[in-house]
Amino acid sequence: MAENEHGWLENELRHQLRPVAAPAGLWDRIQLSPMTGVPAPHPPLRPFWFMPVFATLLVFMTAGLLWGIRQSRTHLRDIALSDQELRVLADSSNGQTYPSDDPIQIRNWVKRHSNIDIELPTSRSEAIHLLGAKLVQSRGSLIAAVAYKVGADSATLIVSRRNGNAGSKHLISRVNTAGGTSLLSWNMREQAYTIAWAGVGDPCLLCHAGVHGRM
Amino acid sequence: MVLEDTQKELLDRCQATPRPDNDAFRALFEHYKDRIYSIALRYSGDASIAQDIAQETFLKLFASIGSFRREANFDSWLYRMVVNACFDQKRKTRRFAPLVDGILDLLHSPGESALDEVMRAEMSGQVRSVVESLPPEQRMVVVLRYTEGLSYEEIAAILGCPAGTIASRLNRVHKVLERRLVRVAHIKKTGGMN
Repeated sequence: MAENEHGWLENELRHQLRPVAAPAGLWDRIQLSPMTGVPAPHPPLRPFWFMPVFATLLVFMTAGLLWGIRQSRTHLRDIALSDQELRVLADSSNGQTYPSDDPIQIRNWVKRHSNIDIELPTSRSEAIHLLGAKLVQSRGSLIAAVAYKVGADSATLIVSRRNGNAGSKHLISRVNTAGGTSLLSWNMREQAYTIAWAGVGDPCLLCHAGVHGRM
Repeated sequence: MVLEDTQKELLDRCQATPRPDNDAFRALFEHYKDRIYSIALRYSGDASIAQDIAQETFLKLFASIGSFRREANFDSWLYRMVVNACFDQKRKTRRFAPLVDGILDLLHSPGESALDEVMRAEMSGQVRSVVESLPPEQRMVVVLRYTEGLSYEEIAAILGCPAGTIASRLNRVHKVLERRLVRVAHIKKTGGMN
């Protein structure tokens, strides 16, 4: 192949695959490896008195977690999307897919095919990368799912219509974590929202760039 | 290369004792870390996996630098380490819990049309997405060529195959990429979707 024949492609490849800087913490990972055996600059202290304190904290945290799970079960009917609905959404092989990274196009597409309106801000954190939307039938009504990335982590915003008006406030109904997946549900206006995500990224950056930290 | 003048001295210090000198090894790390991480990132397409690969590469270097033979090219030797670390990288335990995976699978379900496939490639970064879908050997050739800017001969030396093989692999990749990207460009132009 002549070089100039693929000139545009090679330029694109060089640009897309350009070198990047290694993360700052890489040396620390290597330094702290048992293989290198290099002592950390500030080795953590492990005094024995810390153990009972740690155990006490662990007991309180476990009790709090159990209480939280019980509470979330108690109010299962009140949350935006039930676990069953989430599973229907996850298991369904039907539905329409709309790959796009444009929030306006996604909003228009979802509105065109359902009575769901997902108002996605056009300006958002650079850590957020929209992937597309999906519409799935569940219990006779449509559920919209917007898939996006928070850095390297994946997240999905799931939206459905709700009967009655839940008010205009952004009320969080549940924050639940199970098996590495975090679920955050809330009702706003006449729609129910759930974000499902795994990882350390802040999924709320989709709509709230720089407003607050992690939930 | 700045290191060339001091590379011998650094290698001397690293090889002088069974355990490499920490300062000398740190100097080598600082010089090569971006290149090693870039290869790992462009190959894996995942920052977390790339850090694992880079860490593994430098740990291997730490463990085996004493056995490096001076008549060999150090850069090529180190490149081979990161290439092997990339190839050895086991398919990672799935990073996302089943629920999130399931939801995401809706967007990546099989049986999609060729159009969907192309559009998916388009949405998730066009070229990078297509590169990430290439077989490992082809992907590595592309990364070494376009991330590191290595010649066919240098890539051939690292991968242990003739330069002609590298050329034909790249040629195949160009054709695949060109075909897919031209279709993406065409679909974008005509607004084909749904």
